[in-house]
Amino acid sequence: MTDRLRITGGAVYDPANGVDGDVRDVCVENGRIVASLPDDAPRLDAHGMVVMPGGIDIHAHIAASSVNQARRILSDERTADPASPPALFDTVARSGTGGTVPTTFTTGYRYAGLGYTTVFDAAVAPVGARDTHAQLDDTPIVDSGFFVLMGNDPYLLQQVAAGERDRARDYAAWLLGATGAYAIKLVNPGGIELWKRNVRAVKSIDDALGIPGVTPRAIMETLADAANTLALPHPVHIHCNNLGLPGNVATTLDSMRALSGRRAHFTHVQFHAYAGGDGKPWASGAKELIAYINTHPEVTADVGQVMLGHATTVTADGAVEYLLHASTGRRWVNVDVELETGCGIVPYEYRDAAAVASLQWVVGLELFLLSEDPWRVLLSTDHPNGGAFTSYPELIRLLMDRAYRDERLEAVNHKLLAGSALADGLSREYTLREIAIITRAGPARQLGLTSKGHLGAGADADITIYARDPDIARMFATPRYVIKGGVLVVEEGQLRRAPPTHRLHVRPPYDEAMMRDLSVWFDRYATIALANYPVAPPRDAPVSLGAGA
Amino acid sequence: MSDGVTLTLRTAVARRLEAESITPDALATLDADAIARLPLWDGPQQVPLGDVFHVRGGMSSRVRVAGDLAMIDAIGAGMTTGELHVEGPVGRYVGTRMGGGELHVIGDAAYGAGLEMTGGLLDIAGNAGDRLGAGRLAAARGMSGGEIIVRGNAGAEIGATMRRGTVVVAGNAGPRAGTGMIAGNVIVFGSAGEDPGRFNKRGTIVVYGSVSVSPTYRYDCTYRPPHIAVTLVHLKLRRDLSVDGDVPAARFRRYSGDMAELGRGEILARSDER
Amino acid sequence: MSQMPGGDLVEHVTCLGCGCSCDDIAVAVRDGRIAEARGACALGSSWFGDGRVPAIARAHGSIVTVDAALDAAATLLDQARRALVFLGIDISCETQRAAVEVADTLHAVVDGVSSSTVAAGILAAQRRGRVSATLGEIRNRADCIVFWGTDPAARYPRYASRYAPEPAGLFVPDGRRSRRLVSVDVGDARGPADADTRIRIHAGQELDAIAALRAVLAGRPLGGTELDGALADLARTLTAARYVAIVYDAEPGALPPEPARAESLTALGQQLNAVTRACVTPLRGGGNRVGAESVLAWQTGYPMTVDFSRGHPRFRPDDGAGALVASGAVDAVLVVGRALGTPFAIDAVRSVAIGPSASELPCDAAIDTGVAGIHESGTAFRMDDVPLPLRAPVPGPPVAADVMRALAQRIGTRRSRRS
Repeated sequence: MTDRLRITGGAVYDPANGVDGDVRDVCVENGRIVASLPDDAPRLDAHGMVVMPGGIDIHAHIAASSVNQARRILSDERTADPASPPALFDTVARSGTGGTVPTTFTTGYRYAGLGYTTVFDAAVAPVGARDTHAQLDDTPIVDSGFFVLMGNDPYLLQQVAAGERDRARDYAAWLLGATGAYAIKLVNPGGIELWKRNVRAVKSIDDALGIPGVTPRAIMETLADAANTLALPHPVHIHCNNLGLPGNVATTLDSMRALSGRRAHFTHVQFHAYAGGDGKPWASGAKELIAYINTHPEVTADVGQVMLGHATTVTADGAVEYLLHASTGRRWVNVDVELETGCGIVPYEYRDAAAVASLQWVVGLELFLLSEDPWRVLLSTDHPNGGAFTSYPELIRLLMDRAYRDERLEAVNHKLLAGSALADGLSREYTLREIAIITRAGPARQLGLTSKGHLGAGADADITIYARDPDIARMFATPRYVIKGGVLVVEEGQLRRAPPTHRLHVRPPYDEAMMRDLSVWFDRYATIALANYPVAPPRDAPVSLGAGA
Repeated sequence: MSDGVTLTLRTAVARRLEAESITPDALATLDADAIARLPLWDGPQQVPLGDVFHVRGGMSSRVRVAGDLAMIDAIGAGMTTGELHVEGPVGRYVGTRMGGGELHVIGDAAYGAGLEMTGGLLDIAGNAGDRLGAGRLAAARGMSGGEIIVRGNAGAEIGATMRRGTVVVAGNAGPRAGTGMIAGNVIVFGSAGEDPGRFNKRGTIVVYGSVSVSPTYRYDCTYRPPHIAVTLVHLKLRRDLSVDGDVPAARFRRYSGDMAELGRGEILARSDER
Repeated sequence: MSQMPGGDLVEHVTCLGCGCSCDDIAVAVRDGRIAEARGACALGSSWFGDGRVPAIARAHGSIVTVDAALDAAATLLDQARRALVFLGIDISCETQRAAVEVADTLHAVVDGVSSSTVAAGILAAQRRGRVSATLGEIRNRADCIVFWGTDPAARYPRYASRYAPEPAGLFVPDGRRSRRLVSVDVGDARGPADADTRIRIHAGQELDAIAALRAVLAGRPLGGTELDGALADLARTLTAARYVAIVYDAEPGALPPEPARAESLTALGQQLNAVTRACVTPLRGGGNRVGAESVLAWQTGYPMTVDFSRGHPRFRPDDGAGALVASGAVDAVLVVGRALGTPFAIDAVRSVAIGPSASELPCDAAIDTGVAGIHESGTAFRMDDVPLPLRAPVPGPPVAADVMRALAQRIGTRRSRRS
């Protein structure tokens, strides 16, 4: 291994720098991309291959306390998927188990094996942040960060009620730093706190939440403004109210309109894009939702595609999981997390014979195929909720290969598909450039990661090289080479090295005056001393602010 | 079975070995030399089958395994076809996850025989241990098909979390028979131990001998269940097994439960009433 | 740390004396010894002690350097046909992580205290899931606390004052007076004396009582059992509450043994959530035993009894540490942490111990380490799976996590040299 490498002859897809399949060299030195290297630098022959930045997962669940609760109840599926250690040259490799929620080491190896080099856990309870850092420390190869859950914490809700938006922002800033998080996550704003009070659904974003002045709208506005004022690299990351319910597209659109003009990321929008309800059957609301996204540049989204097959639903949105348990009789975990958030888990299978699962599959594809701006509608399966991350190659094939997609469409249940755009025939096929955007350049841009997701000079040398293959799924499932931070981690399709990883986090400033108020709150209601609450600061320096706003 | 494969244990084994490589499926495609090279597991080490067994014959799905096999686990695990005759006491997990074929044990079987079986026949001439035809301890779903016959007694938690298939015990069954059954049939010609059918959803537990039914089952009626007569004919004609003093006209007290679950399961306890 | 006359006061120390993991202890240190653990209960004070622990390393009967003991340990384990790594208590998650790595590299079996104490609950969760809440949620929200055959005062002394029923919380502003306290006495196992409601169940009728409650909740009352009246009242109490917490002691010795209790209570809790909000929370012992389950889950996918003999994790809950040693299936044992309640005789096979007071065990090699939370910082999990930081108020012997990482490295080097 040398610290210099010239990747020659590959077709480079680097959309952030306007490179669209041009054959050109990519030079790596000391872990970063450089403009040029001396001629005697070692070469990696990529002739006939496709070169992209390393993949970036903007929304997955890989290392939260909730994820580990899921691991603890899934012995049956993981018994069928043991993972022997890869043959690494540089470190002792670890074994593990897979299934839809792989163990930490296996998660890192499998992401890297797909050409992904950066992953964000999308939902971490603040009080569990220490657990998440430990799990991420045991997740090899990929750089990682997480979004910390807010918006169902009574302390914050009281600031919203009192109109104390500055204090709310200071609290958010403190919590981001105290937990070592990267962004603010909202899940079912206000709805989790209501679930704990046995109120099971928020009807609209203007529902009173039992505290005067507090509505989902006010919570979203407060935290969207906080993120934007703090100039966080990633705006507020929102899982809307009413996930998974028919007719919820109205709530989703209301939420987007409520934040009109404010930068915000709406996550797994497939689960929030259903028409119907109130006695009417489920139907696709994708056209309506994507039309709004297409015309509102401040909105970004990831899809949360449902993949037909096994999944594990795991979310802070506990009420949803109760409904899933009650309707399927499957095992169910609920953990109410002290004055912060919730956690629900139900193992699930999306069957192509089932009408709703088929509709969900179609809605996700419609969102992708009707999206006019790949930079703002990004690839995710809400791993492991819509399907495991290991199904991304299959999803990419569905997007790039219309004949295959039509064949799969034939096989699903069509009961609820009347009038859906996909069933009417969407002919679009994603290009490699567009795939590079929805899996690399787009996530990097929306996450404010200036040194990732592209191959310009100065970028982290996170690079994936695919051998072309008429079977798109096979091509994306088995990259020939993966380079992470300049180190060749996949060589001839085999995982060979596991270099050190980095933690992506922010540490925004806040007014210390807030701490006096917060310490009174802690004394009254917390079970942990305020002094013990913050995690040890990650080794890596915080990502700088100001790139996002 | 002169044209089959015969594996004869060479000497007693000191430590438990795992022998899921011994299935008719595997042996049908291998000659004697290749069979002798199949791995058995001694903890983390592999031992060639030929070191433990004398191998005669090959390329056959009719397999005989002979000797004191009490320390050999997982024989016939995952088999889907053929005939496997185990002559002698056998260790744990015999016929685990078997999906087809016939597995005959001429002796006692230890813990976990027929665990998570999906099809085929497992016929044990002697006694069976705990968790016969059950799921692994952590499994939400156990046996999902096939038939298990035990001609002696069976241990605790037989048929636990089973969802399809039939377990028949000619002797007595231990405590907690059919715990967590989703569906399927457990039939005990002798008596059943304490607390049968706890957490049972839709399963049927038939007991000819004594049985104590918990209050979470509700008495419905005393009647002649037609499906039992059909099963008895099958057992007599196909399995050469009949219940002592059986009269086809036997009546059963029917209890439905577990009322804490769906309440759609049943315990049928033979009634002395005529 | 603040200075005080004659010594230091280390504040916000987390106590691992029981699973409550109170993190408000102020440890007064004089001359490198613990003079007082302020705020700790009797159990906690005794857990802290004066902070003095043995600090030697031994190999084959002689006192040696830590390095030499590590070499002896690595050799012994590396040469074993099949090893068992046993996770004891009073170790941090960092130590547990390194211990699982050692087991993985050795293709050993890793087990811990949980499989011989709380396996029933762990397995019930695999089949049914769980309905739980962190202790802060119970403190702030539960208006009905059911102590199931359990008075936490005995083994979890500060539970009542820190979590429930005593503290005032956000939604229970008058503390104890805002809550209905129910005691379900199971046989001789009694709940708190000052309960508002008391129900007595014969030990042998516990499962039937829970089932009867569930049947009532499901609208299928059983009729005919003597418990009916009291249980119908209890069902009304539970469903009328806003937030129910059912609390039972999952550790052995408190309630009569009943393998199906955890599953029954879980099912009851799940069913209650159809009408109101409810959680079922086990009380767990100290020493970060809960952390071992978390670490095992994230590294192997299984919370206890994991066999790496095939080069990857296999879940073997029916082949726990006790059975493996007794049957001769393993020929070497590595005990990591304090060897409390090991379900086997350590001197039955060749053995290595690394942990607090390890040198007092009859082992071939032993390295004394500090106690997590007394001499070692790091992370530990509270009984409700909430992670807490550990502080190290006094200096001590080598840090267990460092020793275990050094052992992992030695074994990893030997193994990779061979492959």
